[in-house]
Amino acid sequence: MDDTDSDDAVGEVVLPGDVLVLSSKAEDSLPSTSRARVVCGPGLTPHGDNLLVIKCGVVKRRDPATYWVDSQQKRRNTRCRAAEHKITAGILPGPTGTRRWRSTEGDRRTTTLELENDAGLCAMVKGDHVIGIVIGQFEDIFKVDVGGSDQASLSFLAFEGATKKNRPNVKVSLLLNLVAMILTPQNDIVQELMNLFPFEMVVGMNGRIWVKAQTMQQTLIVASLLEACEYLTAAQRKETFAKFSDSM
Amino acid sequence: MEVSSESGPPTHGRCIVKRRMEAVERSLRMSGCELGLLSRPDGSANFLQGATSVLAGVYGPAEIKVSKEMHDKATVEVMVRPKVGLPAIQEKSQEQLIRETCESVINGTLHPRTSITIVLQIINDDGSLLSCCLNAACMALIDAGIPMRGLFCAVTCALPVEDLLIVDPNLKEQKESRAVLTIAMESMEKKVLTVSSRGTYSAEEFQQCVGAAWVSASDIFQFYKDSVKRKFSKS
Amino acid sequence: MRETPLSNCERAFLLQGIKLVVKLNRLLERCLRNSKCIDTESLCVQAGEKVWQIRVDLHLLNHEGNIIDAASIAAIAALCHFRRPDVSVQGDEVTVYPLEERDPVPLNIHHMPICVSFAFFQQGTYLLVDPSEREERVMDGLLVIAMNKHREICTIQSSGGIMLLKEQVLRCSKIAGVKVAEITELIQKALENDRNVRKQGGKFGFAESLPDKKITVLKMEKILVDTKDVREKAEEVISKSEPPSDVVAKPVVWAAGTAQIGEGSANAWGELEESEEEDDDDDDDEDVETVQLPETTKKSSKDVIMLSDSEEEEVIILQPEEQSKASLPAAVSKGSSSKKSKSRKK
Repeated sequence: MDDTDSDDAVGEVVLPGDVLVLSSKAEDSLPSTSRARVVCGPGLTPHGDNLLVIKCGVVKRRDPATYWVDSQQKRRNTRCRAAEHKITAGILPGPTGTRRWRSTEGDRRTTTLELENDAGLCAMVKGDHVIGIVIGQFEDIFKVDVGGSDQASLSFLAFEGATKKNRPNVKVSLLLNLVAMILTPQNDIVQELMNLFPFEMVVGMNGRIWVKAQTMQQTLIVASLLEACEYLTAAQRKETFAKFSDSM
Repeated sequence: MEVSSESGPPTHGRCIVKRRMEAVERSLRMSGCELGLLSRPDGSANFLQGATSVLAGVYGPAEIKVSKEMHDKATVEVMVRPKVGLPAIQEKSQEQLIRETCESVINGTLHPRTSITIVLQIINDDGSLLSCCLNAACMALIDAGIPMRGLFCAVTCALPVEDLLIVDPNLKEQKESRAVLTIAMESMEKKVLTVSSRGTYSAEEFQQCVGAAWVSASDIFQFYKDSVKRKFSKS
Repeated sequence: MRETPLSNCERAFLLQGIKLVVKLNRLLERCLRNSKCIDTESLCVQAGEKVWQIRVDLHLLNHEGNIIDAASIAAIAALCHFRRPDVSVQGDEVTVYPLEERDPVPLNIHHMPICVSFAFFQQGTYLLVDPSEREERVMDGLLVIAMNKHREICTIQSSGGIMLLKEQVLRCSKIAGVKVAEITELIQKALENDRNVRKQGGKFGFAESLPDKKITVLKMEKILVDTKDVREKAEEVISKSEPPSDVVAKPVVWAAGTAQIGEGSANAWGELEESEEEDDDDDDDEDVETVQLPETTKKSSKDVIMLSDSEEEEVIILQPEEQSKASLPAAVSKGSSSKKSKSRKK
């Protein structure tokens, strides 16, 4: 609909159909080879020499030439470090073959919630660490809901220490996760939460977070605080956390 | 609720047409839009045109039945729910029209083997229903973050008498018109996407309607943009 | 009562949704019909002959827990708000007056039964009024009490297989009484508001239901569309446009038993390799009729088409593009490619 210079568009709201004309300024300042290294993040797609907006949101940019659209969608959304995920079309969320899955008993003190992350559907790539919930068992295969477009299947041999004779005891609605990928330690939210009380937390690339604290109550507190963070500015968040730690 | 009485002959028709000619000729009625009002769907929008109101919800890209799966693109499904009663043939034809319009802008190849379901609940019909449905669907698709090549909007034009064209008619004007056209335009090149009409009209009148839709489309696209901007203004 | 899929998300939930709707339907019927809150006798037009039928359609828009309460409130509010056209009976003749002639009449509502739901957790240790969807997923049992503001219980239903003590039920009914009084007042206030606005000729209805100050809402006042030059433009377009060339439909016989009529677009049969891939799902016929097809229309005129033991002797292709997919089961341009596409299926 509108053709805008890509650098002028940064911080502006765009709608699908808008075209971002890659700025000539950037092109001049950089050697000609780097022109080809414009990284096209979520919400954008190449359109001739330019970028075509396919999702509504605010244009963001990171040097040298990474562009993406930050949209506030409900599910499978973009927020943190979205530009680092490339859009890869049509890849099934298939963790088959990974041997590093580990099962965790989903007891009453754990809870999952979905956090916004554009990695959600389109960028879930083989090898990504995800959190899934077992929804069924068919002979040797578990069906795992990883919040993607399709259920993932997981062979029972994928569990640690499992052999043909020693079958893992996995129940439906059990939580699967890979214990890794804890949010970057410098993340303010996690740091502030850590100050409240100790808890375990795992973040999956599919936008799910697994939380376990000492009591059910604490787990729920962490979960609701994380959910609330989505709609708070940094200052508001600090205020909320401070109020909260006072009351404890 | 069944109301078995049909209102009598249109007694006020004439004066309505005259009023239209003098004053409020060719105006879009008050329109309104609320985005993301439902929690269940991935995207939702309530679109109002005058007293016509349609609530749209979009699910997707989501899991799909194997029988409906397409391995190179997403399957778009549209459901139209009438205000009263069960969906019938009329709704089916509307569904098809809306689906084809949406398919032409949705970038479905990015989400193969998934479904994108658009549910349209008619809340109130006061004319220009089809265009309101299309506009609501577009807004809900935007809200759901479905990748799209461009946007679309629809405008209904009514031709009551010779030399008169009403843009965005209400139910009464629509009933008294000899022809009603709904024209959907896309935003990229401002081309006509879909035309649906009933009644008789000349080629010239058709061109007039297309022209009127073309002019109104820019207002509606501006309205889309404003409402999305407002939604994003908080951060 | 019927459910709109707007409220559903996952497919598993959809199946559950149907059960839920049946359950809801029954409960509301008991709540509204069996409690005799509507004066049905006044709906009789002619004894033994004609009556009014009142049907309540409920659309479930969004399911975020406790739909039972929401549905019952919506239903009773709609019944209170409803006006039916006035009728007069003179002998055998019944006249129904249109809304313009006589003011419509409201229904006679004796009382307003309203459902209040209680969710129980941990075998009834914890009790929750108005549970949310997440809470509903983990609750142990549900108790629904339908009550009117005179504290008369219209329906009571306990589900989820939980044993409740007498004291618990009594406590719930007390809470329900308070809730019902609040909600009744709310409904009456809304009805009164609507009445006043209508009387004063203000705006009412759905157009006014959008909340004004919310960030996700935008309203636009009437926009005048400048269509002055539309007419001139239209004339211009028409004067510029060329009259359609005369299309003479000559039927072309490509081979015995086939014919093509109309100009249409370029022959798409040569490109069937691609369309075949798209249609994989549809044609699972194993006995594919192999048809030798010309690559393009021009070259083809001399080629011979071999229809091997065709059952469709007279195939008349009117729209080559569409029909080619439908009428001949999997017509494939070359023998080799048919194997290719088959192997892709597997």
